[in-house]
Amino acid sequence: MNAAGLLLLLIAHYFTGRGIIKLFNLHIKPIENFGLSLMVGVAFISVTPNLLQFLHIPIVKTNVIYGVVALACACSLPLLIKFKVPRIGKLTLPQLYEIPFFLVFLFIIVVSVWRCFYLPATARDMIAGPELIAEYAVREGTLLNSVFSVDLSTTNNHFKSSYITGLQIVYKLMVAPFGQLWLSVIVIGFLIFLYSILRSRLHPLLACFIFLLFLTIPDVYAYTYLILYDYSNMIFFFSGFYFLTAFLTEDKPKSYFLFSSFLFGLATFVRTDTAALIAMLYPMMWFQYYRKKAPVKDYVFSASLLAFPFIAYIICIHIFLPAFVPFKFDVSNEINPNLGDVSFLFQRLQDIFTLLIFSAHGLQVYGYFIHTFLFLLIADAVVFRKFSKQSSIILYGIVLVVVGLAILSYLLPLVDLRNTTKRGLFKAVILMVFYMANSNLLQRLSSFIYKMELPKDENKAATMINRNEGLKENSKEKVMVAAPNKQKKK
Amino acid sequence: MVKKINLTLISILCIISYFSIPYYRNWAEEKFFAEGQGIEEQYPMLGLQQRMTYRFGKTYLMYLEIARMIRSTKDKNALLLMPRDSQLKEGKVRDFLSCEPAVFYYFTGLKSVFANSPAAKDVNWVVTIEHNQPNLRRITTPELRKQLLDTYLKYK
Repeated sequence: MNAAGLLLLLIAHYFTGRGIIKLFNLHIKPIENFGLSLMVGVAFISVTPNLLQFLHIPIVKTNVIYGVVALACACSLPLLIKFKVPRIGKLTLPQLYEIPFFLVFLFIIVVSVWRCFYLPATARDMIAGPELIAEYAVREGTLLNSVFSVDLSTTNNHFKSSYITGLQIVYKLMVAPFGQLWLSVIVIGFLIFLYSILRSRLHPLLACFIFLLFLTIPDVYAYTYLILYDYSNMIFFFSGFYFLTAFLTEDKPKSYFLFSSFLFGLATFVRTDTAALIAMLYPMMWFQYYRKKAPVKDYVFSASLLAFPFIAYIICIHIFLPAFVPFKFDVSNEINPNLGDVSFLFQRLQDIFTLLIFSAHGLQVYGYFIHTFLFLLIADAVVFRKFSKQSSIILYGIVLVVVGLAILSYLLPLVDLRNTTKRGLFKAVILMVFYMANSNLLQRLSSFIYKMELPKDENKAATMINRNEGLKENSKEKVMVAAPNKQKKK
Repeated sequence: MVKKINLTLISILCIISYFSIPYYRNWAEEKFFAEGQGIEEQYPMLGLQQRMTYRFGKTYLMYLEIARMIRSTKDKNALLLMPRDSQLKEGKVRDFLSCEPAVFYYFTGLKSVFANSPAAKDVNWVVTIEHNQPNLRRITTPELRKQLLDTYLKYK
């Protein structure tokens, strides 16, 4: 393995992502910025081989290195605008009671990274598509290589997004022959981002437990070292949803909305069918605007949610595909010819629950995670009888993913239950994690644990509370969680 | 500090309880502690072929052997007719799985087709099933090619 190549890529990913994020002028925590920068940087670096191909530059190691460096420098330019020497703020060390969990997380993640490095690409969808094209691009120096002289009639994987192909080429040339380690980079960046969100909403003990629940979902964990599109798609979809929720519920500026659209665009670049799910967010958004009595211009502005997904779709289907795959891709061949028969839609929806989620197979795939989520949901509904605005939006997102996947299966018969739908539900699973972070019950429990933990000195308590930055604003529930001692005075 | 120690003990108890649940205990044992899965067992075997064989098994080695045998004849237009899995199952072949042309090309750099491919009329090599074993044969006559294609087309 080429450690220097990996280090160069890590730096390139970070600065590329950091520069892109700077354009949106977000005020997020440094640790969240770090995680997001890695994620966004990985996605952007994936287009390096495509750019080289467009410029008729051979895809060899030296050229790829120059390409990566050039792209990172270009994307880092926004960092020079109003440049200030970064101040390293006070480092927040983990609490003593987080350390046992952190040791478990470290062990699980180290094993994942090792397997990502050690094992070759395994999934049939990869070795019959993106990995195959990448391997021969590395051998022959071009994306338009001898792979396309082979009989590809048994597969359509060569039509898939060039996201994985590009990353595999970069990592095979710069890091290790099997590539793949970009997946570990994006996984680690996402897990850092996710844990920071959990910790900002819940007591660290609860945040750790929820994080452990998520990390040990069998299939989700497996795809942290088996390259496929779905884990990357999940994290970009979730991140876009997170910023959209922040915009709708925490009065964040429009830059959050645009950043949400941007992240949804990356999710669409990874899997183009995601655009259909994003479009289904509109009813929820418009309902929120209606409740707030928002002006007409907000409704008009909301159209921009699909701006970046649309651009990503055009790049994938109408620019990259014709340029890099010498076969015609006709979407109409994929569409269900029997759209009049809607019974298939309802059957697929039923199958998602009976044959996938609540079945022996579902247990192998998702463990008890979904059962835990449902238990919590029912407890919240029974005990509190209402959901916060954030929780309602998240629940809409979960339903949207499930129903949206059924609709996609109905429209595109290739979206099968045991593979595409199973992995597509990862997007619902991560939203369930987000729901748990906003659960009324868990927030009450969090408040209780803080009361147990906090010293009686109110000043110290206030300092501890300020660390819980997730919910500082106006709802009653937020006041109760953010200020457990003040609740006593009430 | 006492409270933090108490919470630390609670966190340790949480972790132990979580991995005491039979489902998660079994998952952890299979995922992290099963034979051959450990980093200490894999670290001495860092060769690319070792890792490919570890992942794809005996079938992968047989694909490589097929490719080696074809390349030894210096045939630059080799096109292999691959049997379907149903045919291999009927022939009681073990430890060898069929694969689609894209996957075979990924592993070996050689082209293959199934019998129903439009390019099948040009096959000059075939994997046959003899005595429950896969064998590589060269197709020497058009009549033999036609006979093989007619037979292989019956399997899906």
